[in-house]
Amino acid sequence: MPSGLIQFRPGIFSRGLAAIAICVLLLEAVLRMAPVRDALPIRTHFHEPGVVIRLQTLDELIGRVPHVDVLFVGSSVVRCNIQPLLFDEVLARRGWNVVSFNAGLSGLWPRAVDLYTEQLWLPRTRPLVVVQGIRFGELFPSRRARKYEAIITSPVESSWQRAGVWASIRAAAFEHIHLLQYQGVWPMWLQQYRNGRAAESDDEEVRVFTDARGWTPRLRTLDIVRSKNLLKDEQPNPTLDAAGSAEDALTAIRETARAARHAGAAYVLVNVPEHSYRWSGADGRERYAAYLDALANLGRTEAFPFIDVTRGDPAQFSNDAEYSDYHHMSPAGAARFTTLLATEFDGRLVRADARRASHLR
Amino acid sequence: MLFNTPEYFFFFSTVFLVYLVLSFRAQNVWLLTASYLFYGSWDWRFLFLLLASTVIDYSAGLVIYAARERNAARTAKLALAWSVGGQLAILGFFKYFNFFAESAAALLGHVGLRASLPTLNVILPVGISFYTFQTMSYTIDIYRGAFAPTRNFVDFALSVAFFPHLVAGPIQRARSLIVQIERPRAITQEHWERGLTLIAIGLLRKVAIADPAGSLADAYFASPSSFTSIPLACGLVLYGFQIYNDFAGYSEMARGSANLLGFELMRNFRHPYFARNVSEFWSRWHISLSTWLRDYLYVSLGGNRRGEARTYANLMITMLLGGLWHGASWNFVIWGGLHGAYLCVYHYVRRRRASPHPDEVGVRRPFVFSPTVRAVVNGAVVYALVTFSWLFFRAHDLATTSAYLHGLLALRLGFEGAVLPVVSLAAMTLAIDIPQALADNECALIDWPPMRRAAFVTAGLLFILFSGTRGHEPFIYFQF
Repeated sequence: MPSGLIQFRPGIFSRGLAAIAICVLLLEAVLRMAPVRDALPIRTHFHEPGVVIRLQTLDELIGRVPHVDVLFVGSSVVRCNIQPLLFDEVLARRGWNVVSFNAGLSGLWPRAVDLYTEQLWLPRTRPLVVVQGIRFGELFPSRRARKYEAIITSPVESSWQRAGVWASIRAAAFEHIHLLQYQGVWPMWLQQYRNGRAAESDDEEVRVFTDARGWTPRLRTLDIVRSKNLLKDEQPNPTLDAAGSAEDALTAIRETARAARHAGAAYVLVNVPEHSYRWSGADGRERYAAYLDALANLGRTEAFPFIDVTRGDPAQFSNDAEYSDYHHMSPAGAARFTTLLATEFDGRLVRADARRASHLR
Repeated sequence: MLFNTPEYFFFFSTVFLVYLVLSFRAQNVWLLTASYLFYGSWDWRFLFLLLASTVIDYSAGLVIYAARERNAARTAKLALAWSVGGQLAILGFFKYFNFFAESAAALLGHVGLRASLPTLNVILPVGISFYTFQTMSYTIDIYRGAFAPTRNFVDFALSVAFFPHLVAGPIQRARSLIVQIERPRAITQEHWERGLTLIAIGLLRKVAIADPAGSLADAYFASPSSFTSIPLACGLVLYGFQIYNDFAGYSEMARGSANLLGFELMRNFRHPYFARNVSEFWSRWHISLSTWLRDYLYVSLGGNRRGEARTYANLMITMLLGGLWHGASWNFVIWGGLHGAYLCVYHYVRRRRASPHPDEVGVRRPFVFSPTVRAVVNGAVVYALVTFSWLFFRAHDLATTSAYLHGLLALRLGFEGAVLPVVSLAAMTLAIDIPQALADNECALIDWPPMRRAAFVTAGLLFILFSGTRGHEPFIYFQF
């Protein structure tokens, strides 16, 4: 038995803890109020603000409509180049009653797209169709692709990779307790004023507008950035073989398709057209065809539809006014691409899954 | 294993729960084992150094005491020399060898001699400056006859390695800690309350004030030539907040952890930025080091007993060595020298006022400020002097120091400084310090009404949660 005296009066502690618990609960309730949340900086429990912004947008959407039918996933080329409201409108004119949502996230490549689709978007939206957009560069890990390792060390995302009760509890706590969702905002707020006045956020997601369906428009700037020689490092896409191994990305796409099906959704892969400059040069058409063939072959072996609105012709998207840079479109470009996609999609909906299609009528 | 990490929380919880069920003697063995595990978590090889330091002073303590008992002054002196020399050799080898070798080579280079002195590729063992000083105080106290050594090696080893204070103090006097180790300890209600409160306040200081202040200050020190005077002044003030809250926060967490185990460690900070003179600042800042330097260095040099000139010399020597204690760099020497100069000026002025020149006796001063105004003005001057001295402490080399100083004194004005962060972090520091200072109690909030206390704790919790970064910043004093 311990020889020292251990004196503990639980009464004093329980009263103190009860008072603190009341204050904490009040605070948690206050943080859940929309005006307070809007006044505070964006929450930080996910790897990047883009996820939180889209989750908030999705929560608001789900509050208004019964369910999301079509879910767009992918990188920033999906986020900027597909307008869900226009997509729905085009399909509505053809008699389809569709609600779509853009869950594209900046800087992702297929492995990370798969992670977010499986763990976040599918369980939350339960869509009828998952549409994954892709461009050539995303088949190869690039400097711009967000580091997968960085993503999976974030409070919530880390639990998706680690099995175990503790990881699940931790992730659940971060997902549901608002008090835990603002890690780091105090130093960030202080940093904002390091030069005497409030600086613009370093994060593009926080600065830009995101519409009610997750679409983030980008300005028509290609002609300007070109004239200022800001894209001098951007080169035409090489041949598929010269670019390196695409196997990891293709595997990730396969896994996304399987996850979508497992969740009861149809899966469609879409080529998001880059500016024709990317396919310029003597063998541009051949390079483009090889890239499209690789995706089409994947679709055939995995039995999912692959849509290419350019029909193999890279010159279809060569108007500078339709681009912000060589792969992000301006609103005009996004509108044309979305309209073409919706038109293609119309037929695919019928052919791909008649039962689901009838459900959408 | 940093105090501000979940790993420490789990480590401490495990140690604490096992500790509660053990008998007194087993508690000491358990704490020693845990302390070695704690220290070994940085690098297990450092454990041998810690053990060597412990063995040297344990054996020296016994020899000195035995020699004193039989009036063998020479043996006692030799044993003390063995102890102090051994500790200083360890410290000198691991911390100062390269500094002195490089400085000597540079000096020889200035007089035209090219010397290639060997340098060592060794890492600085964590906490070495703290535990070597602590163990030295043990043998010096025994030599002075202030204390009888412990014969129990586990008790002595625990007094050196006790994990709450091992890596960054407080530099506890061995006699005060060993007394607590040798007797069964009581964990009273007060220990619980004070322990938890100190840990919470320390965590708040570290996470919500020191780390954000540090990340802001880093930008100014990284490229001082890019900023004008006001931002650079803001950088110094921010570093002042960082170092104070970082070290005071660490010390409070160390003392809180010790409290929960039934121990009392000495207070290390007493609102130093409220000091009204430089001498008072040093009685409030890093108290365990300043009193160590006073008791074992300044007093040994003769203190103020050998005339005015010698007093100033002793002050300068003490502060220069105190500066060097912090790190093997000329910047720390300059920092110590600057504080030595402040202290000399302060003591000179004080002496002049205490015994004015005969011509000045009876002459009425033209302006006499009220004590409050005087205290505020004095406090502001001391704060400015101390803050200025942080420049030498923070800048890693003389080139950065020079660039910073140049930018600061160039008086190029522009209001692009981090004024709002400075004000915000000052408000937070004052929100902690003022209640503590008014009550002269670090745990003043324990006596507050429940709802006021709950509101304060909740606000603190909110700041901790909203501050928490994914990486954990180490404590500044761990590098010393």
